[in-house]
Amino acid sequence: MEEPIRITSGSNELFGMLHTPDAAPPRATILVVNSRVEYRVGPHRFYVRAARRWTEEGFCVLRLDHPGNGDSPGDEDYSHMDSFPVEPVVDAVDFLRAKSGDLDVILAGLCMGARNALYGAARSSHVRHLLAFGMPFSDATPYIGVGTEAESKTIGTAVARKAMSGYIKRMADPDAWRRLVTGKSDYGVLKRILPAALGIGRNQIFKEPVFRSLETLLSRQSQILFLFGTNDVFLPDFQDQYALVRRKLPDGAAGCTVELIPEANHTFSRVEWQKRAIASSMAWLEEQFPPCGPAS
Amino acid sequence: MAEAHLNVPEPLFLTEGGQRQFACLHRAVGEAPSSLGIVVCSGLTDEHIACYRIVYQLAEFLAAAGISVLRFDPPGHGDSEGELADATPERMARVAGLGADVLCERTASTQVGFLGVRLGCAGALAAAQNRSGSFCVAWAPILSAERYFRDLLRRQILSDMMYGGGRRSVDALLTELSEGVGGGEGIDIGGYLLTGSLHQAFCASDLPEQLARPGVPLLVVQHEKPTAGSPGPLLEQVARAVPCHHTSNVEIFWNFPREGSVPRSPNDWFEVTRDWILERARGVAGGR
Repeated sequence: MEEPIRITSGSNELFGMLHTPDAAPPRATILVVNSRVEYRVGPHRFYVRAARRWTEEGFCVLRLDHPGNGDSPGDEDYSHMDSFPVEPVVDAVDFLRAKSGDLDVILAGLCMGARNALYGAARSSHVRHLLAFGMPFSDATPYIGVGTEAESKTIGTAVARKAMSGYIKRMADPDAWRRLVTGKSDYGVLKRILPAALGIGRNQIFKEPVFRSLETLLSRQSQILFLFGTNDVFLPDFQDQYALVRRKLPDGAAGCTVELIPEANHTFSRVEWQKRAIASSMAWLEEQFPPCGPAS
Repeated sequence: MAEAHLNVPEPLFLTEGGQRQFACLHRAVGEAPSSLGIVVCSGLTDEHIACYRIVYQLAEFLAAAGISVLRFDPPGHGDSEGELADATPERMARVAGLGADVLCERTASTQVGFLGVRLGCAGALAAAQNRSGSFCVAWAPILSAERYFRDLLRRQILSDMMYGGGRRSVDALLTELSEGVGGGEGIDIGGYLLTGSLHQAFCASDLPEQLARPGVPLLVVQHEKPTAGSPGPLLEQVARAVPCHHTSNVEIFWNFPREGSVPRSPNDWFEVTRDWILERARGVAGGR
């Protein structure tokens, strides 16, 4: 069954769509967190398809709209995809636990939705499972072309190289040179991009809040599934940085599983890729929450 | 744009063809709500997602002006059941008709019009033509569904090439569609399966001709910039035939302007639409 609900978060009544399995009781609950761009249905309606599939297998799922997003009130104008407040996620976790009789809550999301889910999971002491689809580990700002972020001091190699290629293309543009000479170019961005593009300072490119949140989450013996398409633009950075930092994470990041979906891109923009990603997530969920009860 | 926050939209489901279609009712606010209501048929595929918040803001804006609004997710979109194949103009018109009934039952609306966005215009116009005393507003209508789908298929081919797929021509894909190759499951266009029957359903309707002889009062609001689905000559043809509001000062809001950013609200379109609908209530406009 799917029913619209509202949950209180601060002064907002946030909108969400709650999926409950026909066969009661549910094995666990899943909170799907979105990014700034898409609302609760996710990119290419991925969250709707995933939620319906997970519900068929006995999970309760809530797809939530942040303030000012989808059907939630508010006129927030998020200047950066990483600027979603974490409180609504924490409040939604509390709501689901209260509604389900303290069942486990798994946080899930795609791209920045995954990052928002990670930040929320780190803040909610009860959360011990994260399903992260295509989560950027480094600062995605040069790639997504939105604003800047004070907390972000470093970016990943793949992202930096993509940004550099943009600068190289603009070398033939007289306006670009005019901006450079007249001091109108953002030298700060160039200063950040160039070393990263050249692979200098590889130990520094892991995004600090991501690392801290992972550290917090894994210190609770949490289980995390990182799921990427092999054509995901963020995959090279993930592979590069994850190899560097995993030994610094609690238990050597033993709770983390990495799955790759052949050919798929960052947002799983084809029905077939979505089906494979959902099937992969379902297999992981089956391991974590077998029908007879939670494993961990 | 600042939102009114005057009332809380009421989510509901409309059942059509055995499938539940998600809808949201925005009741008119103010001491003297208009007797007019409007049902919004949004665009399809990812345009539905790109426009979602803008349609929400439009509904809030019109409700604040005393016009009750019901917006719904077309079959296979948003929180509705079904797949893209179910979102034919006929089915959208039937869902919109159910939405109009809800408006009349639950609000002070006695006269209901329909507003379509992009491909949703075909459903909105059909719904208006099916309902006595109705009217229609068409936002950026797709004037050539054939060209529109060709463009989507062309983009899909580019995507296939980028991700290591085989190179196919648009004509080959169109042949696959018409012949129902692969069991007729459809061709993936960005996470939605385009079937031959849906393609045919939209291409068969001559929207410029229908807009020229709508049979109901009609306002067309369109962007001056030609697009794949609305080439310049067709924009001009429609502009000559029906009352049109042309703008160039709003962002193309039915696509994500660039990755990571959200389209801005076309406030100008909101105001033009509100004023034209309120003219209906005053009985001033002659209508066409």
